[in-house]
Amino acid sequence: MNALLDTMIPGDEEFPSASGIGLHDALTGHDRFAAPYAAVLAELPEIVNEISQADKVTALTEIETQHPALFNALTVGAYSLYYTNPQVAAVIERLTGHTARPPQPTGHPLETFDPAMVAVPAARAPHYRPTPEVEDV
Amino acid sequence: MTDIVIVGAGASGGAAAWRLARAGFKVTCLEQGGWVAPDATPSLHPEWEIARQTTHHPNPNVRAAPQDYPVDDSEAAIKPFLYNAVGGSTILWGAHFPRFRPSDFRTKTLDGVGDDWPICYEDLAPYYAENDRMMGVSGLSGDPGNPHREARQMPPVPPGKAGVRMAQAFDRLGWHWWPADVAINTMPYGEGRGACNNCGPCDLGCPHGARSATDVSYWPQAIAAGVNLITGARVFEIETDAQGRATGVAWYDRNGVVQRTRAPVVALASNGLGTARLMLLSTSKRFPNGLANDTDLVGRRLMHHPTGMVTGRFTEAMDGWAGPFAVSILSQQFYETNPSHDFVRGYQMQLIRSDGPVGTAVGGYLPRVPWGEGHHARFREVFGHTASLTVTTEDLPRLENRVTLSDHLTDSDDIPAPKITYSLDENTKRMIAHGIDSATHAFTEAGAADITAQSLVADAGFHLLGTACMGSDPDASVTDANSRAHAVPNLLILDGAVFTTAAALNPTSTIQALALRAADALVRDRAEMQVAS
Repeated sequence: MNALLDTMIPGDEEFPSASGIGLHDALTGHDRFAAPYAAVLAELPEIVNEISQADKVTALTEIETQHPALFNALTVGAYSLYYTNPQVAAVIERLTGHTARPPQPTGHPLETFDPAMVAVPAARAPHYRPTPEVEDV
Repeated sequence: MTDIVIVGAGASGGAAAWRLARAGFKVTCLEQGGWVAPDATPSLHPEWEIARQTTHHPNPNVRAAPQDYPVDDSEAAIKPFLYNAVGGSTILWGAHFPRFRPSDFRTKTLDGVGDDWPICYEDLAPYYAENDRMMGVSGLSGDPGNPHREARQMPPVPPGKAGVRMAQAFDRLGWHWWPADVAINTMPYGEGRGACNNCGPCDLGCPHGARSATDVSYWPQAIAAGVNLITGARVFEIETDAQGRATGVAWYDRNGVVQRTRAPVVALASNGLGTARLMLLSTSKRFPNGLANDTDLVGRRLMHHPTGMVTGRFTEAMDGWAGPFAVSILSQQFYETNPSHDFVRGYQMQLIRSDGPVGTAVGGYLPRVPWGEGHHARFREVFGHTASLTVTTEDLPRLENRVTLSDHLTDSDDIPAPKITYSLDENTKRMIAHGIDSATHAFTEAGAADITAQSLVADAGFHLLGTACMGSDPDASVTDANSRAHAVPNLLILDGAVFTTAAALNPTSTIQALALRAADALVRDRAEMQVAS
């Protein structure tokens, strides 16, 4: 079934392929994502591993068209497990600076707000619509 | 016996419980969810983004947690977005905290649409201020788009690279913009609450308590003041006497055993969906169509904030995965009615930062990164390189947009689920189209490399308003100006259900200000209130 997942998420010079991170096993073992994965697999031709790459794309496209909710669930599962894989997170950190660790507890530096940036809008006249009752409060 | 039972421990329930307990009331609050431990936030774990797609998904139908009830949204253009816990939906909110503008209370008088509220901005102003102090607000005085008011508790959240870029674009266009008011600490504030560390996914919880939610703001003080908060309590009926006065509530405990809490005053604080559901469930000889529903308005006039979304991609990295995801700067340039527009009322544009790797790939602000050969190339193009402007529109009340009871869905206690029937009208569609043009213009001015628009964000049913509306006329509204049901003198409705109109901005500060005001009115009027004998 790696052929299916590698068709969806192939590798390139930096990112590993789906099979390269063991996505099949991760999907199969996930309590929420295993079912849609199995359901999509059941829709594929039995000889999916033997057909050409172009035919694999065609087969997946047909499932995406005919069973959009099911294919959506698989895609969410596949992308979720792929992009939280440590190998993939390490690639993203190297390329972008987005750290491979969880957002907490460290977070990111919080700069100080510069009040000078509002100089232009602060100089504008009030532009909310007055009502009879409103005073400055 | 308790003096008042409040159903729901979210934004409004927490505020009212605190206020009433401090005034000497014996308060019992029933909440179907539980406490969410600060250190239980998924953002402490490597799989944090999977939680957003599963266990912490904002749609209860996807999340399907034990404390959730399903929602029949088969006829709803906008899907529900809520949470059931102590803190309610503030558990997963972005903490955007604007106030209504004065004109928002006078849409009928000013523009001939909707209805005027029975109160005005000035009536709520002191409660907005009190609520700001309790929740803790970061922001900046001097916004020409709103009446002058007191200084916020803390300076604004820095806008981030994209925020600076868009602010400069707004300045060149001569458009209004201002740093967003947010209930996020930019320095330590409140009991044991630290400062924001710019992590990004506020919606998954904040282990430092920097992002305010009522479980860390109001509730510790409410409990210290004596409120009896019972969790795992799923209310299914408001009980009444022969005259239709509320006598208390019936609820299931965690073991599915029916319990009853009697009280001379009942208050509903379960959001515009849950409160309408509960009122429709509470039928009696006096109220065969649901509690306080003589006018057939309970559940009707459901308002959201229909949201369009425009996303600009920049060639330079914007690092939008850092910083509170929902808050940076906003523009109210097109907020008020303008005769040159082909719609009445208006909208706000709010800058949103970008997403983590999973959110980017799965899509939301932008369409999903396509699977297949070009997948990684597209991911590289967009990840960390985007910012989005939401087009948050004013949704005018219409009777056909409503909450009813589902004829086939029930929760785990076999209580009928709510059903949402909701569509957009032409005024809203035209408003969104105008907003998309405006946001596209702003991104073009800012130098975005390409721009993508969504005409409606379906997963944006986070503001559930209007289903038990406030008004002066008992024949045309459900509650009076003090949030008391016209037809049931000892029933208060504290959440967004009472909104007469919706404005075009996030409602939580207004919901809480109304709840505080209703609590003060109850303290003042309790001795004269008709209650069950």
